[in-house]
Amino acid sequence: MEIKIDRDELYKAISRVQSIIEKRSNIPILSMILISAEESYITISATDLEISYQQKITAEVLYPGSITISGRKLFEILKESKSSNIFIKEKENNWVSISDDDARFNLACLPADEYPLLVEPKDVLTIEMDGSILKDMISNTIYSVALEEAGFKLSGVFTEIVTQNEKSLLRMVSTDGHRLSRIDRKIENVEILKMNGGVMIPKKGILELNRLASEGGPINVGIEKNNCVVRRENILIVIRLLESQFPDYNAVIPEKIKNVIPITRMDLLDGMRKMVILSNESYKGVKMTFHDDNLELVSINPDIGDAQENLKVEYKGESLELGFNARYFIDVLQVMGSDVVELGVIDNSSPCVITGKNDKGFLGLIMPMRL
Amino acid sequence: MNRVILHIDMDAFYASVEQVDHPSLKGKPVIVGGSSNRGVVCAASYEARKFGVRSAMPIFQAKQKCPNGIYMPVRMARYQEISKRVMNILEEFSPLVEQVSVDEAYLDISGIGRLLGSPTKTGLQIKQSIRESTSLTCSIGIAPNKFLAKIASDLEKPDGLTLIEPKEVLPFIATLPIKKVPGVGEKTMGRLRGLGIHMLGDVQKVEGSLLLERTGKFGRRLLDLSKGIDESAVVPYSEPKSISSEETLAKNTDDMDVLKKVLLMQSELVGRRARAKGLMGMTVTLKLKRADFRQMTRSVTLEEPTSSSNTIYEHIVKLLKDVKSMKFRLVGVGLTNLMSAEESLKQLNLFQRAATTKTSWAEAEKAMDAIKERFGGDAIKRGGLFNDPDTE
Repeated sequence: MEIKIDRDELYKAISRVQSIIEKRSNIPILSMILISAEESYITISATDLEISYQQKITAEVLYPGSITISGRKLFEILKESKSSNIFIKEKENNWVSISDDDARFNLACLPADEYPLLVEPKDVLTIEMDGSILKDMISNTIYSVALEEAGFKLSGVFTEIVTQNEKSLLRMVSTDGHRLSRIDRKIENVEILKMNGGVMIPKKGILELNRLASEGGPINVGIEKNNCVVRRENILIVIRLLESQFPDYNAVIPEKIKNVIPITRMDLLDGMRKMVILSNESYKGVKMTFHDDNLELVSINPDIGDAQENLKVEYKGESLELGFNARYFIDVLQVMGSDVVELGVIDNSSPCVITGKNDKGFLGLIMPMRL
Repeated sequence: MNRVILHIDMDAFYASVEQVDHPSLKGKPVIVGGSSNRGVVCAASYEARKFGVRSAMPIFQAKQKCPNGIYMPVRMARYQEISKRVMNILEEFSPLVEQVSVDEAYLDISGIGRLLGSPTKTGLQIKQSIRESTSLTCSIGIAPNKFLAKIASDLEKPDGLTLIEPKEVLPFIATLPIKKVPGVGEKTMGRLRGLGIHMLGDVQKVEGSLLLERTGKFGRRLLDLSKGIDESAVVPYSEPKSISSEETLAKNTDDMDVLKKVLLMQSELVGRRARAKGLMGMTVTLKLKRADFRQMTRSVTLEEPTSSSNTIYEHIVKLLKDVKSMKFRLVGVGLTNLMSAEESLKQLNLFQRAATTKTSWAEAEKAMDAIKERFGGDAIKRGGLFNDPDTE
């Protein structure tokens, strides 16, 4: 294989896949990128066996063929290069030479035929959706995904199709057991996606989807057996879905909410940011006391000190004292867009429901802490 | 006000405990250390020290020096039990007890002389109480600060009692060899000798700026110490920063089954210690030392703090899987980012169901802890830790 390619184009693509390739894998081939050249373009492939990425880029193909190359090293080489064109040439015994106007690198690589090449799922029904809608849905749910697979596996975003007023909506839900977020959006033709009661998209896959969606424009999404297939222009991403069961989240969303308390989102967010200054691994709690149109926030950390702030709210009922992890409030309030949010409060052992008029289709839940 | 600080140091602690538990070992060279030639000496009885056996010496070297010594495995649980008894005794004298290690503690009795009598009398009483309760001896140093108390306790080992009165501090420092000062190693000692410093008192004779230039920050501390100044307080209890367990393997191995078995045992121990202390940790760390002595660690920070041996082990296995297979000589398990279990249980869970499997494990582990507490560490084991009778 021998190619001449635009440095900027290649650099962009190689930067893009750094998050996919394994940095510390015990399978060396997964730290490599496959480059295949034919006719007038190259195909870049990267995979960690969970997520597979392919992108076609125009190139001057002097000699067709395939090579693998360390994803990290190629990235670093391109980063330093100031030339407008890059030459990549396959040599004997899996050596690959990369050169620009100034420098030349010879890298020992692995045979291309050992690369776990993506078999593109065939005949997948896809729908076109606006990248910005997908991006919104992801940012409204990604924050409450569990960091790791603890106990029962939640480390992903549950995605399903729901019907409301005879309209089909795409729904994403995530939870780490302490809090939950749920968002519904109307998307044309969403009902043709084969979701069979919902699928779990792993966190790493969601982050890749988010990156693709953030680049703007329409993207095509399809579900096929245990894969999520996403296409945008010359990029194809196939994400293996998690096989784990998502808990019955509907059962934990309160139906009857006793008190719905409106509050200015930024006031509460700022207040929580102040309270969190005193929190650490051991003390995360903030006490919220609603009483006579006033919300008092108190944070006490025996190791550091205490903090207090009063906020104006509309609340006339009997005095209500609740404990929460301040961080959880910050996370949800940050992704919301409404000027005024509504806190649905029941008691000190039921979740607090957070909604906002301008956050259509969104619902956040936070479980309290014992005081 | 002059402070009165005691430093209590148990004499050849591990070895002495073994001699008390096995009276036939009295008067014999007892060496406590790893169960194989690859370990190091943890403690040597005074009889063994006569042969030149020292703490931290590799076992094989100790065996060369003292081939007829009696080599005993480390029984940490037993030493901790005795240690707890000693600490309880100290707490009867003053609430300000700072346990430095299993066999060493500081005690601040400033201002309670009227209650206890003279410092020397207090020291003698402590020694007597410890001997009555444990049949062990200790050495005590009494001085106006921690630094001098520690040095004093070492002066007349074993079974010693040394008092440095405030008026004796400066003459004592004048003749205190610099190498006795904690923190002065070979390198620093070389630099200090270059400045003509042999005794701690000599530090005073060197120009301050020159000292600081040669020894950096430590020089400032030395300057203070040479004036007999050490303000560090006796801090009663400090939360442990980590709970860990590590072990040099009997032989280097890349056998996953062997590694996993050792790691299971260590996860078990780490979890048990955390539970005993009422602590939970957010971060699980796998420590590995390769055959070429290069050390590597892999950590994972959890969603929720844990003290469950099971959870710790699950994460350790995941971490191990991501490590390239090679021969290791030492493996270890650590739990860090500790917090009190009580605090971490305050967050309520959305899904009660999520907690059930975890809770039942927690119950099982609690029961195991109780059995071990009562009948010893080997009374109950996980299935995975049973060996073939042939290899046991």
